[in-house]
Amino acid sequence: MNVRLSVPSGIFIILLLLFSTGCKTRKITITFGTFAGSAWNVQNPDTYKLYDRIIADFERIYPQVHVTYSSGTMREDYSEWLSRTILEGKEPDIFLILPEDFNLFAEIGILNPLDTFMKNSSVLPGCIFFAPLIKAGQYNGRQYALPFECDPTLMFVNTTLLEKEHIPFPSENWTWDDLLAICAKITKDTDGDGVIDQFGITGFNWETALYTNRTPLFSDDGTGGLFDTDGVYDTFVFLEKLAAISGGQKVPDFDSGRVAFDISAYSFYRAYGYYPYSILKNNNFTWKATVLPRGPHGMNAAQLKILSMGISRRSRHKKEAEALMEFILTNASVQTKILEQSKGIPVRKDILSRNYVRQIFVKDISRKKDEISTDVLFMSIDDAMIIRGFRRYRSAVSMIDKELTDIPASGTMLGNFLSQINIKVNAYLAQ
Amino acid sequence: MHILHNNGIKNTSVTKSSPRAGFRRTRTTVLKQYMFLAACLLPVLSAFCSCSAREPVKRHFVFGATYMTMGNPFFVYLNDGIKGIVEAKGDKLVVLDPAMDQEKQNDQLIRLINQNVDAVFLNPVDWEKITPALEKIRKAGIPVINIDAPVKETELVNCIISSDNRKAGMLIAQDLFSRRKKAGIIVLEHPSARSAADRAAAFMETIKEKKQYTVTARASSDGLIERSMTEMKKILEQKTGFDVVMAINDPTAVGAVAALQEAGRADGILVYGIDGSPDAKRLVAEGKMTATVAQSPVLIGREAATAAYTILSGRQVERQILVPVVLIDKTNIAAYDISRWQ
Repeated sequence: MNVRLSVPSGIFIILLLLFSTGCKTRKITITFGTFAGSAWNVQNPDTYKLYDRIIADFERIYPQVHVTYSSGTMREDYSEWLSRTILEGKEPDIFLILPEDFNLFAEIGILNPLDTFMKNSSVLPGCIFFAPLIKAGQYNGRQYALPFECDPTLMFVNTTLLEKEHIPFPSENWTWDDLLAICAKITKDTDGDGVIDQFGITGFNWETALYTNRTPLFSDDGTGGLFDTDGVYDTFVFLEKLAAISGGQKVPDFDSGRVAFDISAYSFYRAYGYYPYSILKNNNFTWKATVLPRGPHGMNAAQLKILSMGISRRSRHKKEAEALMEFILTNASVQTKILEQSKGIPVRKDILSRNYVRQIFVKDISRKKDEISTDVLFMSIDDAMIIRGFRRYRSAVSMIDKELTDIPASGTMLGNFLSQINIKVNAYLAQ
Repeated sequence: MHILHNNGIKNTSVTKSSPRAGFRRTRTTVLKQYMFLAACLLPVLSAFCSCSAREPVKRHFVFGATYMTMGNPFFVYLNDGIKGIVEAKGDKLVVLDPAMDQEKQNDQLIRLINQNVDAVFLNPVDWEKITPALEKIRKAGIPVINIDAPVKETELVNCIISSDNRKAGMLIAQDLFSRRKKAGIIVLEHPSARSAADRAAAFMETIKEKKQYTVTARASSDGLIERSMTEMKKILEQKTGFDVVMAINDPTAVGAVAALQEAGRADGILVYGIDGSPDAKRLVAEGKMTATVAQSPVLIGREAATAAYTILSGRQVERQILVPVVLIDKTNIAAYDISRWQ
């Protein structure tokens, strides 16, 4: 009897031992969704190096977790690839979310809410983050994404041209009126042939102007347009004044050296402001980046593009995915690597303030006097208007883009025109 | 003959998807969620989804492509040449970027096998280390069109379409003879890519008999602008004597120009590149580069796509197709569009 009992008991004990040993050694594999190259459509050969480094460092701290990713998907194909994996129920546990995809993914409920994770984290409260980047990952009052990196909009200034015209470099709280005054002074026919050949600004479109006037075009819930507000009206009056300075003449590229200001992304500055790519740009003038001028209702900041991270609601390894997310957000080495190796800015604000990080800009910059100021970066991120996105935001903007670009003369006509656009947008959003 | 089949992507039936344990919702809510998800995502996926079972199934090809790096614009334009033909026929091209990592490229080829692609356009990172993945792809019966840089085991690919790389190297050597009676030369190469190796080899063979032309240093740029600049800076620090830089492609040449310019050493140095990229042509026009041997990535891409369709229709293609090259310098640059690839 004892013998008969002991055999199954022995087998049970052996199985238990095997199981417990297996449990101890079995690694959990989580998948990380990402793409090749820069999120910001500039050259960046180092993205895999960055991801491989992050994963290797994470796995050293969490040896029981293995992180894998499918390499190769191009940025332009990433949304489609990710959408397909979602439809097939095979999406990665944790994945990067392009700026244009966040609203859709939040709305369809594929993203796991991160509020509890953030509340329970012991390390997140110890870090100082750029607040707008955190806010941008919220949807209907809940946090669904956290930032990997961001790309603020900057004003590029041809300092050679400004010096030639004896115009001081604009201050960091300059206004639309200051911009209009400088553009009026700069714009001229320099060779006396009767044709304007020196210009104030290029690239300042209606969307950028609205951002600098902190004027949203749509209601937060995406149910209606706000085109009939004073802020929108003032913005288009300003744009008309700006266009009038060049007399409707086509403004050449900033690279021509004949334009004082250009609106562009930080990533562009990082990619082309340094050797070796800087030699592909015009070297006949020096330039420097600064903040954008603010409108009467706005701040000195414009659009802020954010590459976020989200965790699948269906992931079976949410804890491990959250650990990776927390590691990326808080680890100083990772955050510094993002600044060095991607063309974006990481979420930890204190990283940018560190002296050794400032050396990244100074060391690589082609001409030291073109050094970008971290104050400019802080302002461009901290003061950026985060648009409360909704699913049809981009399609609504696309629908009205041409009409707003070719807007008619101001006065009563402009008011009527904007009202008509508002009616059109409301009808579209009500569909 | 290759059997035509559907696009290789599962036509996921959304309403049949079962909610996983992670969802704390009722079944109805979950189904609604999925239906909404499908409604949102279906436009994106229209290229993938097949027609309903009742309609006659229109068969489409799905092609895979993997290039050594999409960080080099040459491959972006080459890909455009393929994509233009593939998409005009309503077919699909899945493009993957290994960013100069052969291990990643081998993984990507396995992924393409698993996706049941009909043919693969391959530009290998390393002409030897690609072999294991090529063997698997051959075993899966998937035709391979080898573009730009040939693989070592050429019997594993169906055809090779590239520029006349040897001619490119020779043209640079001959141009150098016409400009300098003697020269100290830096060769910035990329030995693991056969196309680059052929260019460098033909250049070396052409100058071999002329003792007054000596190679004073060689370094590998991997064909990348950043690495080229780093290597060139190292050479400059070593105070190696030279007055000519022969770069195996234009990004390498641009990286060298950047290093020379940063060090204030650009004057009097001849810099040659190969590609005929808009960037290099602009530098040639500005006098910052001596010449670039122009390739036509778009033409190579079109030839590759045509070859793929020929193979899929069961017909024979030539084993090797060479696309001609031409040297562009200040004397003939006006005949070319600086803003575009040829």
